[in-house]
Amino acid sequence: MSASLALSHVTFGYDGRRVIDDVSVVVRPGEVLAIVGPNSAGKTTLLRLMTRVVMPQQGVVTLDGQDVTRLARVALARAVAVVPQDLALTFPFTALDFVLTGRYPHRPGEFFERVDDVAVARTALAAVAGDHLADRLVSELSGGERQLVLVARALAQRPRVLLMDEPNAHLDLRHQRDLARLIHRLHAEGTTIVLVSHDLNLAAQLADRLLLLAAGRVAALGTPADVLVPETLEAVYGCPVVVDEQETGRPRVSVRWLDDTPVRGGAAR
Amino acid sequence: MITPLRLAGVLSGVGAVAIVSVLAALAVGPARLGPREVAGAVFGTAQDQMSTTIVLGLRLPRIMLAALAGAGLAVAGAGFQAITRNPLADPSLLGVSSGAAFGVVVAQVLGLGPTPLGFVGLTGFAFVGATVAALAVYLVARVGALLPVQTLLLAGVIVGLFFSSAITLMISLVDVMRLGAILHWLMGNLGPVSYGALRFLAIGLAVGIGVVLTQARALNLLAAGEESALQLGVEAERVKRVIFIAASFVTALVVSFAGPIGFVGLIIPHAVRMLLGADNRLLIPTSVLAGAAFLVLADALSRAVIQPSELPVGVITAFCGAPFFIYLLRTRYRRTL
Repeated sequence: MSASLALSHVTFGYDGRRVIDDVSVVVRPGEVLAIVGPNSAGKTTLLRLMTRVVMPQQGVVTLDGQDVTRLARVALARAVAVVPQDLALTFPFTALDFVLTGRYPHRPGEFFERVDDVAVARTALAAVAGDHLADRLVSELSGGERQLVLVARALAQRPRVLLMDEPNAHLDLRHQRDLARLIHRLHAEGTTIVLVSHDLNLAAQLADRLLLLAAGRVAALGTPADVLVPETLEAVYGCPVVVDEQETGRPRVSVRWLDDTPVRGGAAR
Repeated sequence: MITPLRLAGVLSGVGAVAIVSVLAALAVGPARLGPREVAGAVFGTAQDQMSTTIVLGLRLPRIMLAALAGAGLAVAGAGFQAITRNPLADPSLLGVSSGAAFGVVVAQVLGLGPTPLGFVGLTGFAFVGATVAALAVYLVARVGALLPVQTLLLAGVIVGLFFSSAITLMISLVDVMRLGAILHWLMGNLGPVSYGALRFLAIGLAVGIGVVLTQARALNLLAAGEESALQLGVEAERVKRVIFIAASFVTALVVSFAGPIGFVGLIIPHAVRMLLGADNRLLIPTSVLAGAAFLVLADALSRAVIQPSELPVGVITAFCGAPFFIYLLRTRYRRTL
């Protein structure tokens, strides 16, 4: 069963500085929603709000209609998994052990994982073509390999909602393609996916809808074709862009690198 | 990957080492007793009363104290390392042992002695001292939500020095004649101990170590950071608080009965991690046995080197720990400094 995640009039800030300002969005069951926007627009903070790492100061975040601040943390973790931007592990855990931690929310009271937990973890590693990493220490993996292991841990959670924060930041072209195909497959299986990305073209390619965030507010929300229009992007990013078509018919955004014509709107604030 | 079978295998192996260490340590002392006499005393088949008295009455309680202290310090180290996500955290390097020692000295000045009630009071004062020191280090070392290696170690050294000086000051003011003995004790001292004291210590440690063990799996998730742990369903703040209290309590117990012995909490979890990996479900119970074996052997050495006198066991652990610490700093953790 697909799950829906909704933010309703959510406001949040750190030390009085507003990071998220009255954001409302419904992530529909089974859709891929990409959150895009300039640096420090509040993209990662939205993921923190969705996973109750921080609580909204106003408004409410709901999972299938239930306020997430009233859910048990493990219950939320059984439904919602996160692929963070990066991972710093000081201690020598193997990749398989690390992926196995994704099974925790399913049986938090037990000391050992069960045989089927190990099977799920191995399947998750295989799904990212990371079988060969199983016995390697996470601290000794490359950035790209670490990214794969992070995705595998999230898959091992068997989540209904998958949140990914810049998942292809460290990946080379082939691995980016593998990841895109994996997202496609999960989408086809009914997983609800929220993708935070700087890469507008990846977002346009993979997402059903885009949420364009600027200075903590919703600047635009809609299909890639609705959101990725030069006027909107130039106003939000403060730089000239060209929008044409990708091979697949989805919009493609390019920066006009050497164009000095001033743009309307200027920087995001 | 850890399974019940692997855990049992590792624990029987390290347990065997611990038992052999105890048996070997029983043969060390001013009275020359061969393996036959020691075995005779242990298994109750000895002909003469004398060797039985020496082995079971004098040596065994002290060896048991060493074993318990080593087990406790190793687990306290593993616990502090897990919640600070800092592999160099250790009750002595964090100043927690010094805080506990200050508590013990205050309790002694107040006249708490070796009675059951005295043990509770002693441990209580030590526990307050340990938690105050640990909190102080935490507050001084914290940079935002992080505990960087440098500031943590510096804060630990400073807090440790502060409490050591406070101990010296208090003893100088109250009972200057005992200053020498106290300084000796501050190096870690495994003196004569009653079976009643050992029982109290063993029960307290079992509770403290048991509490740490219940959190072992959650601690594995905490290794990837608090945010990640929260997102996997771990109540990170609660886990950290539980371990903080349990590790301080275990440290306080050990310091109350054996003084602030240094470096065990650094050496043992590190060595175990290098050999067996970082999974706390394996690391913590293995550290119990390895810590016990290590301190039993260190104590045997401290009794053997300058017979018929003896060194404080802290001298031996520091001679092992300081080079080990320098090695870790210069190689494994070079990048974090």
